[in-house]
Amino acid sequence: MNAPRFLRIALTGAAVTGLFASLLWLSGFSPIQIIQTMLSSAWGSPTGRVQVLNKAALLILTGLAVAVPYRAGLFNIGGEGQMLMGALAAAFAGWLPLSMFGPLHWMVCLAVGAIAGACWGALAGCLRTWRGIHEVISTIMLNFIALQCVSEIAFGAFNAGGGASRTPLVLDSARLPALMTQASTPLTCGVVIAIVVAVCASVWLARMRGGFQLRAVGENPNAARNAGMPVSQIQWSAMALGGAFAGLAGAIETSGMTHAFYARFAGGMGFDGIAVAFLALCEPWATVPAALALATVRSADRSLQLELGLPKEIVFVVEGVLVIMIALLMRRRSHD
Amino acid sequence: MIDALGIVLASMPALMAAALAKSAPLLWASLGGAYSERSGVINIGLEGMMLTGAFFAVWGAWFGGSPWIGLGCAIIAGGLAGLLHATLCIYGRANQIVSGMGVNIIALGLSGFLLVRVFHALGNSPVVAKVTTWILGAAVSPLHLLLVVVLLTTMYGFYQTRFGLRLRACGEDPAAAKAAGLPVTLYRYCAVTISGALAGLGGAQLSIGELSYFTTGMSGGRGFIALAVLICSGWRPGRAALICFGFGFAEALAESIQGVFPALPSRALLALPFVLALFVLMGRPREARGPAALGKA
Repeated sequence: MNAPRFLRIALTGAAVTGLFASLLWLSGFSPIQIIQTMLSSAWGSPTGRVQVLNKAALLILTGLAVAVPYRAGLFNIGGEGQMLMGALAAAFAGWLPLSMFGPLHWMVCLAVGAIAGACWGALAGCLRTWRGIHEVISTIMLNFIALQCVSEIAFGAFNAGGGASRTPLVLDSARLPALMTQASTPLTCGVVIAIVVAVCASVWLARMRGGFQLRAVGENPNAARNAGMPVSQIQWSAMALGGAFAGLAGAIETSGMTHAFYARFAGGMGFDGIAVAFLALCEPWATVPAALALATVRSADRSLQLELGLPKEIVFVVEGVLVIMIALLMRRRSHD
Repeated sequence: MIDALGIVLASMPALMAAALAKSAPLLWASLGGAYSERSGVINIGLEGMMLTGAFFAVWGAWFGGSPWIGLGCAIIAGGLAGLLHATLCIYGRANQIVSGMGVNIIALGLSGFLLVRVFHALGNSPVVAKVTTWILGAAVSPLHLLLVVVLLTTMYGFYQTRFGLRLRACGEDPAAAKAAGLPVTLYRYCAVTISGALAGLGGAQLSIGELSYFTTGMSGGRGFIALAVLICSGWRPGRAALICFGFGFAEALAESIQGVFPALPSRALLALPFVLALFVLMGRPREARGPAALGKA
């Protein structure tokens, strides 16, 4: 039992991979073939690549929504609710006749989405600093509250009419510009925005005063307080920042892909952010490769079903095994 | 308005019954979480363990031909999911939060995968025999009675028995517990496995207790709510039971108000239990302190 750490990691990792790989063998599928199909379907065609990149844009941002607050010692599992709020707000801003802003209209949409997400995130942050409610509890509750509120609005006051389960379409000026329209779905500039945001977040965390304070609070709140840092303010700001990333993801989906807010919107994308953040070891820039990897796995579900006759849920098993590998490699939270 | 209020009040017995039905799966998972977290292992995987239990309950009931075999399968499958988490966290020294998330994702995938492979069904499994219910004012099943027994055993066991005291010692100060000669690792393996088995029973309560089939992702966030209940309760099983009941009652009330006042915004009303929960938490002074060594296994 007293094996060294690397041996433990290797043994447990191999055991988990072996367990699920053999499960696939037993049901008559070759794990290697599955991975090959995943790669070829995601990157083998222009349509596949566009889908992966569009999906990755959202995953990068929902990943940041978890990763950045985590560096401040806060576990934001409210990405789902924050994303819903951002998406609905962006749908509203896109519907308003702001076309006089011209090309600024879609930027206004994104900004409004990010602000809405930030407000929803800051609410959880304030509940934590002001009333001591653990952010895990409040963000779970706020996810459910957001889900019911946005569907109330999308089905009620802000409905497209005619029995549609969505809000009115956004104006053309509020649509995210496309980088490439050759494939069947356009590649929006969302992925560029997401990568820029991720890199900026990394630089800010590593090099700027605010980022340093955020990390200091995450490492040791007492030491940070003794050093004169406004710990509460940093904590709720970190949650607001996380919410802004998730809200931006929602806005990009609304103004780039769906062009309206649909009642069944996020569908677990907020939770995918948790997997992305941990695959990236909570380092903001690393959410980019992590999101690309996860988007590759995720976007393969249909072709796995068509080409191998494999139930599409298998992508979650692959994703789960990946997350467990990361769990084994991760350093524990020091302050918990 | 007053009349309608009267209708809601008159349906109180039905409301209580609905509240019991809604709170039972939550309480199973909260109690499960209490074992794991009291021993010092964070268990975010409750959601996945519930889902595993829900699926294998139906699986066992289908192939074994009896809901009792289904319950047995739910306990074993949930326990194995717990054991996986325990092995990763204790032997593999994995990050416990991330490992729990991994268990959740795998459970979602595996149950969906097996649903297609075993039952050749998308979304819903075929209908299986559910656990018998007796109508005693409310629909009571042996599973509910078992839940009460487990609750009382846990409340007594945590504070009055050698196993419970030692289990809590492992969560408070594993180094001291080890110095006193306790097999800390063994206690933690047991606790997390029990945790999975109880969450699995919570899943079985959903799939073959309330309904009689499995649907993809049927735990629907209840594992996370159970975790929230556990933290709210200060990791105390008795309080967790009260909170679960209160939560179930608010849910049942929201649904019944929805039926009586069709003009009210129905979806916003469904958010009521969660809003109430936040307000209750806001009014409460901060006191709950978790097991001191939680997450440091």
